[in-house]
Amino acid sequence: MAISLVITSGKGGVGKSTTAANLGTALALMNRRVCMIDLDIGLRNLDVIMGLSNRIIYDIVDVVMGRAQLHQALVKDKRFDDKLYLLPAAQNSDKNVLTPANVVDIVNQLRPDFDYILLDCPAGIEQGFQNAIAGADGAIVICTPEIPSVSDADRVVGILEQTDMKLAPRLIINRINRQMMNSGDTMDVDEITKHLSIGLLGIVFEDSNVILASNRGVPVVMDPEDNASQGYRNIARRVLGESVPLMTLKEQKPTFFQKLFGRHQHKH
Amino acid sequence: MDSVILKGRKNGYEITLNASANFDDNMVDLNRLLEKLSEAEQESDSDLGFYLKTGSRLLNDAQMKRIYDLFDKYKGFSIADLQADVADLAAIAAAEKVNHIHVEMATIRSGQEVSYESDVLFLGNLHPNGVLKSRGNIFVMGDCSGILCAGFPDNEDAIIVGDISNVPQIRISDTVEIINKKNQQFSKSTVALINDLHVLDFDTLDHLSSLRPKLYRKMEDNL
Repeated sequence: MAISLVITSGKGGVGKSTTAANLGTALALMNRRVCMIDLDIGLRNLDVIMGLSNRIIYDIVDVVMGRAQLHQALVKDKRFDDKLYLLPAAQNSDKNVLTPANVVDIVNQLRPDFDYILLDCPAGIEQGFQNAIAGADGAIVICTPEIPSVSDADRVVGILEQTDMKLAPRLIINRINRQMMNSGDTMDVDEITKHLSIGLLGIVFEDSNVILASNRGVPVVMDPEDNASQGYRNIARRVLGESVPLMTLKEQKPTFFQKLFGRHQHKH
Repeated sequence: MDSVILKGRKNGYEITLNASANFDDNMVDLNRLLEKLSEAEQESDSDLGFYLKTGSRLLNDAQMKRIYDLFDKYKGFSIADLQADVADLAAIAAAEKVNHIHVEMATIRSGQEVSYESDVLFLGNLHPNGVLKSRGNIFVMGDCSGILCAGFPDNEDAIIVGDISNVPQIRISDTVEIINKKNQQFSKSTVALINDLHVLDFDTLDHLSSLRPKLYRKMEDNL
């Protein structure tokens, strides 16, 4: 039976869909059966990040309205055998068509066939957010080291604590700029974790490869050498219950030759 | 007439209904007493108000109605006051809510608003955009970065005590103060209160006895 996790943040643009795509992919790479559900009705983009846009025939609203069966709407990612599926959001439907009860029903139908169900939550705390948290056993809260993001995450954690979830919410600090954090220009990992008072699931460094990967429709986590990929892989291992140390915040100093040839500029 | 005792007091007549006796017996005896008194008072035109005491018996509505109906039968007699030595649990709980100091240790997150009827000793974390509201006073010992609102909505005597350096705004009764750290130094013994000019002002705890003598005495009594 699957564990359902909602990936939420309150604030937009902090990397919810990117995290859902990469965490889902990382779990599939670790041989877990994963279904990702995009709940951002009207502004779907999980399919774009996964490179599955051209394969969508039905969406979640079609399922709810009875125009399609659930298994017909699931988009299989062929790169991972039978391990990774996406239930896409509708792009041109009224976002209020979906109710929390619909999401709970869909999640319960999917549970027997998967190990993990990841619910990609829309930004905000309105109907879409309520739909997403209704179907979840636990929450992963994403925030970046910016005060507006931390403040919104705080609001979301407050709401999550008031709902009766089986698992306590956990935090991912995304898009960490090591240089700024080390120089004290942004809140550091400890400060954010202490402020939000929830368990830290992992950290991910700012990485231009994430944007490139999203543009290409190939989640960055598929590149084992990448820095952000390592962060997502560690997070997936922690989701599976492994104990993995946090990645170091220390910056790699470029060697003489890297300086000479300017190759270090592309690394973070 | 054992279950009903009539006594003359400075302010009038007091009738005690013995709580250990059956209430029906009380009523029979009270009727007999009032009958006797009405015979004695026949020639007097003045109205007599009685202070009724029911001891440890708390009357229900039906019992109270029976007593009032009985007094209505006797012209010139009325009930000035009806009191028991006990209160019901709901009244005690309501009084308790207002009078005791609530110790709050929770984290109040962004967007959350926590309200109390009584004074609050705050040991928790008040995050930015969180609101701690109290009808009484607020004593701060925890980390506060949200809005503190004492004496809500109209208690001008309320105070806020503690280090409010990181608090963006405090409110007491209908006054609001935006905290500007540059203009004001705060410490654990800072007291925020409404002064005689109805302006939100700051002082220190060592002046509390002169600023809020009633509160100071109450706190001394509790210690």
